[in-house]
Amino acid sequence: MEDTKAIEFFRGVLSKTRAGRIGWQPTATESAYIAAIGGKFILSVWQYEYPDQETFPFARYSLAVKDQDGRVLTTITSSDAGIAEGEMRELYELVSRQAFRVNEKIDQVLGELSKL
Amino acid sequence: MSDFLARNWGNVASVAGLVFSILAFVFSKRASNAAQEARNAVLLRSLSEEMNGARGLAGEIVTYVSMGRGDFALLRANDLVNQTGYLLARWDNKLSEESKNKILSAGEQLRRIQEVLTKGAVSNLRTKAKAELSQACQQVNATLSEEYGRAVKTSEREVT
Repeated sequence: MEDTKAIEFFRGVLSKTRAGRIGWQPTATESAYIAAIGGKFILSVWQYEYPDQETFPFARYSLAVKDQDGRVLTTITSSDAGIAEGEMRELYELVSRQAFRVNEKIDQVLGELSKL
Repeated sequence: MSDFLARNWGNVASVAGLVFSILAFVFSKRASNAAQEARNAVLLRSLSEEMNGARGLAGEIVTYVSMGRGDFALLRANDLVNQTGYLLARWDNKLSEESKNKILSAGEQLRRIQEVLTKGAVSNLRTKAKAELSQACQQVNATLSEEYGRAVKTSEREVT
């Protein structure tokens, strides 16, 4: 059954991330990113390998929100009903680019290239 | 003059009483404002001292991780997770939303650092994982140093 609140939450995070309004940052854990919002909540996005596939494990993605005390309020994965795998991957890729400021660095590279 | 006073002593006394009441109100208001400002200054000094303590712990984590002493770093990370939770709860009405976000992120970052340090020795980590751990520790240190600076600045502004 679709969790409409969870889907709304996912769409909200995706839309604000597309707009570059969330300050994502990398973490000590590989392939995991976090962002604090409203002084009260922590969003986290991470990639993991789906373990059931014996020969070709494939990447899956999750989005979670925790409260100020570190309690997980909800977790959404790309296998949840109503969440498209492609959208979850898009969120992860956007978050990863924003956390490492890839676009800004590429702009700097382009600036340097234009001087050559 | 003495006739006037003799005839109107009641009115004169009332006016004098009113003037003294107004003066007393003005002075008590000033004293109350000064006391409130002094209280705020003490509170903000206390916030900056606590932020300085947190910054110190974060600095120790950076040092221990760079020395490969994951066990010591883990102990400090445990203390600092608790400290960030305390700072957020204790100073909820004195911290800006931006500061709260930064301290929250530092707390979450520390939980990730704990996860990595709990898995095994720093020396056994792959080069990339070690670099990510080190960067995360430095980021926590930088965040808390920044927040310490902000708290000091605010407390100095409150005093002057």
